[in-house]
Amino acid sequence: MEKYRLRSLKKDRDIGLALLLYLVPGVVLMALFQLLPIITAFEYSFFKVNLMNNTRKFMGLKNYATAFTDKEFLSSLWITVKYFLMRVPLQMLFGFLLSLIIAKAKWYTTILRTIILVPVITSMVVATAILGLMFHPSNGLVNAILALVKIPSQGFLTDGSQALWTIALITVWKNVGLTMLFFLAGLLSIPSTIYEAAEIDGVNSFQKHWYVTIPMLRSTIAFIFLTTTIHSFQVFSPVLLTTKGGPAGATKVVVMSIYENAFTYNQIGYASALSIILASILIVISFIQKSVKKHG
Amino acid sequence: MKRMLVGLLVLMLASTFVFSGGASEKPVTLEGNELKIFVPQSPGVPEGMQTLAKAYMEKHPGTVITVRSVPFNKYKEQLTVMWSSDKVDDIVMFSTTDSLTYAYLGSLLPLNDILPESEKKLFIPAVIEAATYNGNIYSYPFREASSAMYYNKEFFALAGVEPATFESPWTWTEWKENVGKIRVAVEKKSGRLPWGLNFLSNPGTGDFWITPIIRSNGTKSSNTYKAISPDGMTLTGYADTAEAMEAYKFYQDLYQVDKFCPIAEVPDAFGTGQSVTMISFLATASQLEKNFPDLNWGLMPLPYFKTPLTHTGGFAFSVSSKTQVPTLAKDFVKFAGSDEGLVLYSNTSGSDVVSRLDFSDKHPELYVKEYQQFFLKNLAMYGEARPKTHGYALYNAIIGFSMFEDIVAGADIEKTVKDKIAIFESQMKLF
Repeated sequence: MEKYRLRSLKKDRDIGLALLLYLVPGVVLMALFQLLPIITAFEYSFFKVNLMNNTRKFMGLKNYATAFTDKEFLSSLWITVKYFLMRVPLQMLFGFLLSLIIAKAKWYTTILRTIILVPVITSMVVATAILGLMFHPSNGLVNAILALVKIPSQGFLTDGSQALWTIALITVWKNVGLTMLFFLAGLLSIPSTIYEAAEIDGVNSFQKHWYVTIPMLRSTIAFIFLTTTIHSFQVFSPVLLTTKGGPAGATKVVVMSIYENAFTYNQIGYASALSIILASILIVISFIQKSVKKHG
Repeated sequence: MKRMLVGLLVLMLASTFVFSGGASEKPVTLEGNELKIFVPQSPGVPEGMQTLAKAYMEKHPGTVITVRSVPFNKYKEQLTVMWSSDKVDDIVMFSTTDSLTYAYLGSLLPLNDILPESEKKLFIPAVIEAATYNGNIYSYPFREASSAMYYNKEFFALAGVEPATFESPWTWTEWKENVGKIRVAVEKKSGRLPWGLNFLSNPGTGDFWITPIIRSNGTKSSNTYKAISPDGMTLTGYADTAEAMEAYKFYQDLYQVDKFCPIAEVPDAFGTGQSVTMISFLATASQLEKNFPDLNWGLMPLPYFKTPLTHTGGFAFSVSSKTQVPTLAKDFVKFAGSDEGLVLYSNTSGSDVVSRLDFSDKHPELYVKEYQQFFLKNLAMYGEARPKTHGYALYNAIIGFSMFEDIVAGADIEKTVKDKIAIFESQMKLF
């Protein structure tokens, strides 16, 4: 097919106008709800701000300096890293395995795909409310099932050693469907001739996936790893809706710490500085990942 | 062509930033007639406010009043977010003790014009004091609260235990022993072990509900009883005394060791017969009557360690400083807090103890029920003002909620108390 080339504005005016009209809503929304808050947060991070009476006091870099000595903030960063280490491998592993099952067209493929994707389209608030009840330490469904196999009741969200794992499981359950879809797209783009060649060489199933599938999915894996990492560091709503950072601070992730500083302590400027620090960490992670991908 | 498109996009972005600051607020020369009221979903409150709004609109045709409410545990966050914007609810309702913080932060209008000195004597003095900051009053007193212990009469009778009385309240040791006996008796009969104690929201947290347990382990002149320094800035030496630590341990053991209290929410635990006792306030009584008419319950004063007490400080009305209709808002507040307003509110939401001194004497017909008389006496005998600090909202968030959440979850008490006190004291310096 011949490639279309834009000609002069006079002749392509209607296409130019169409392009502009398609772009305008997205650009305006992006500017209002993404760029503007980022710029405002960056501005606030240099001030002590009281939004209730619209006053502010210039602090320079003091907010940033305080953050690096704030034990609560540093502890919340560490808890977020632990959550990331729990969630990302699980979500990627299960997403990959599910995509392998779904990739083959069988009688159950459509039903299974629907079941796996239902959590993705369910609201996080609804999902967390229901799962929170299921994990109730005394009246929950999960403990009732465990009792059937003679396992004692577990604390789950009320136990300091289990709460973060439980939240990681909730978020994996909620998001694994989307990860599965990304892996599926990658799988379907792998030419079947490569698998045929591998079979001729006498590889077994495991070797086929280890030596063919995974290397061919490198870009997909890198993309999923990056997006899941970013989402892990931004985790907030399941924590707010279940444990609110407890029990005893066991699930106080970094966004929860930012939220607390902004809306409990009314330190908007300091909370903005913490947000900028978090964003910087995520940008650094993205650069590292890009660099690793580039160098193979 | 491409340059033109890019240029147009950049122009659009720039325009978005320039115009996204919102229309500048011009001074209002004539007030509008729309009033917005924001209240917490505490038992009876939204319904009572709707009745008051309807009555006011009937008296003032042309006025439009909308009442909105959110769950109590989300209310304070919503207030902070709301006041950070320029579109505020004109009237808000919260505990009188919180008004100092919000007045300090500049969120409230002084109400001296609708509550002059000559009228202040009509209200409980402690309430007027709690709502006054820098000589100005910022909250119009409305409802007064105190907490007491509800008990299941059937369960008590099953175990042959007589409840405590005003003249002879139980200590916490006596309570634990008696309720332990009752739990065993109920389990023997029904096969199910009930909880010993639950709260309006579980696990029990919040300065109003839990700090009286801690303070009661000190004599009236002790720092433990006082709970905070006179300037409201320091908790070291008040919230971390040996007596306070002992009381925290007792409270933690109710969850972690004795399993008397549920560590996660159990909706309507007392109403559905899943709990022997419950700590709550007067508004719960009318809810129990309405929702659980078959439940046979009674009331007794809160147990104590050395000094019996219950926290006071109920809801009051305040006007947002950013309101566009200050005159209308203040007029409504005056109406709602008047004799007439209180009667209307009581007829919808059930009678409650109010901050007006003579109200129960003027309207004995509203206080015929035994439980209403109980709470009037409870307030008079054991009522004690909450720790006074202009950072009360911060104090309640850090000490009342966060610290007690960690304690019931089994955290190391000494470390938790020390850490939370440090956070409070450092945040107060930033205030």
